[in-house]
Amino acid sequence: MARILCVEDDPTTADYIAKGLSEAGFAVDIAADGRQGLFQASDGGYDAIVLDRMLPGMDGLSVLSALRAGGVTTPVVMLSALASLDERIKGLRAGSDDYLPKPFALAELLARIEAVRRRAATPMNGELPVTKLNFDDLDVDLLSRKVTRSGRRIELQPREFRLLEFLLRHAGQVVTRTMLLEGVWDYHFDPGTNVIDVHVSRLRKKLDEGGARSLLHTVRGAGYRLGES
Amino acid sequence: MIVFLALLVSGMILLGFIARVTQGQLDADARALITAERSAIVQVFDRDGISGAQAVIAGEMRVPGPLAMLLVGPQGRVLIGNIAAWPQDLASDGQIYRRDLLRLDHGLAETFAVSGDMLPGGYRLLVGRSLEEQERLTATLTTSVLAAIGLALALALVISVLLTRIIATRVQDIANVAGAVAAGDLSRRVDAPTGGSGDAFDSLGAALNAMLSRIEALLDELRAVTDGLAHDLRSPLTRMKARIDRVSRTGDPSGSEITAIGAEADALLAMLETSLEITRLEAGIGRDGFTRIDLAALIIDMTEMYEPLAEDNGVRLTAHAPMPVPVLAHRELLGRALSNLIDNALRYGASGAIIDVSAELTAGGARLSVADHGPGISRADHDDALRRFGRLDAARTAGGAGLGLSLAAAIARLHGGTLRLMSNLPGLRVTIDLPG
Repeated sequence: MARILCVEDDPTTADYIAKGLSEAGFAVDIAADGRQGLFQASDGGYDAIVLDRMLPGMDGLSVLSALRAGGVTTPVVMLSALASLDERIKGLRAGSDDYLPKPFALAELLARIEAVRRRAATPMNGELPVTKLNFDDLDVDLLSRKVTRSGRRIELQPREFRLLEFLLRHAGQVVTRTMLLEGVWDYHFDPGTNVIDVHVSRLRKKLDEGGARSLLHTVRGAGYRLGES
Repeated sequence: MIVFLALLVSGMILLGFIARVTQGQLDADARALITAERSAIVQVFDRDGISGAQAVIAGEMRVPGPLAMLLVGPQGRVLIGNIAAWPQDLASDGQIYRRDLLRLDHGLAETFAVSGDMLPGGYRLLVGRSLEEQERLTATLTTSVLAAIGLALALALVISVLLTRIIATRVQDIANVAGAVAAGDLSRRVDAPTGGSGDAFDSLGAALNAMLSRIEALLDELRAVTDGLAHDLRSPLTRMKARIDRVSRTGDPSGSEITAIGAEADALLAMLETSLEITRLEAGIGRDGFTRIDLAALIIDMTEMYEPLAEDNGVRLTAHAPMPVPVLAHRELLGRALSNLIDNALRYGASGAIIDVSAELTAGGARLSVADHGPGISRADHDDALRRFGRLDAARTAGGAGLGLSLAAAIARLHGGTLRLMSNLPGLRVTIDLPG
């Protein structure tokens, strides 16, 4: 069972996160302040750390810097009530793998924890850059930009292609709308309306054309997942 | 008071200086006269002997003047002169001394500058000049300077009292206004002529008035924001409360009520977040994120993002940017502003079927514009539309928190630019002008 350390001083939020993560199948430990969090995280036994930005004693950024300086590479998702872009950049610069503004949906946090864990697990060796992605009967050639499903050629717009590539790289995981906006469009604000949904449903229509079973699923209240039903 | 003291001290110093200078000048005059007289007599003595000197002295004494003269023989016998005898304490060394002497033709002793000289053959010569006149002059000078200082002091006293009174009244005016404002009356203003010829007090008053107007405007805006926020929070909160009541009474087997409550809460949080974001932007936070970006690429990005949604709404969304438009800007924020404008156009102007987004270089920098062909906003309502929470009543039914335009305007201001609304005949055209 994957172990998560949650460093959060507000007991209600900590409890909410712990409960949600446990239901998703994680073992969760809670640290109530920065020093304790740093102490617990230092042994490196966790699969991921959820770190609040504002903590009594030692704030989240200092904890993160101390961890990274100590050679602990456990992926960190930083939580913060400071939602502005500059705060986000500070957090990422200090070594966090992702940054989530409060308040957040649990589904969003789960999706992001999955994403940073996956990223940490993939070896960073750039010897053989991936040139082909595939899932089930879907094949994507990243060099020739050719997409086929069971041998049938699918024509995609450039942006649709990048959307599909992002989903394929996160195959099996829940990908939220904001993650798509960040990963595909490189914007970090929430456009609010269903801008992203329309893009996804277009892509889905193209992928599923010809009666094939659907690969791209909507996860209610969270986002999308490319995977088997 | 300090001015007064300074005046007094400088008067004293001036007086001392004048006395010293005049005294010095008069002494020098006396010295020169004595020396000239003496050398004239000695010259005649050398040429014509004692009788010549006697003749010169006799000639001098016929004219009334300030001179005292005496020529005595080797035994001290007086040969000629206008004083009775050689003074006991006067040496015959050519130096000039100050002595009281009684002239034969005067009733009273006077102060003289006087010198005694030894002439060849044992004769001694005394030449002196009266200092009476000189002392009288010094006395007159002192009196008049003292009188002048007295007058100046009196004048200074009057002026400083008047000045103090004038300054006090004018400062008191300002203090009264400040006091009234502190007590809560923000409409009070200092009396200051609006013309350009005001003095320092007028410009202080004008500056104070400008500050008060700004504060009042900010407070009004704050009040409008708070009222708007309260107003906009009330209806979703009421709906949420109703839903919660219903769930607590009847349960929520399908979970749809809870989902709806969650959606309401999300919308409220987004609204508060946007409001905070506007405040941050207005404080100038985010300027360090400026980079050189191409507005043409930005509008192509954003129209491409919204194009599918627009198409679903039956709107043709077009990007028009024939050439690159480089500006120094915050890509994320400008993208967000543009996204808000396109979102608004889709929300309120979809009936016009066409929305044009364009980016172009202008003389002063660059211009972004989003134009729809919907119902538009009447000119009278333009200011209201730009106010935070200034959602026009007509638009309230269409959803949204009325923050989109305010946020876009705040982002434009952060870039030193301006957001303007104008009529697109028909429809609404929103432009953001950015400095180059």
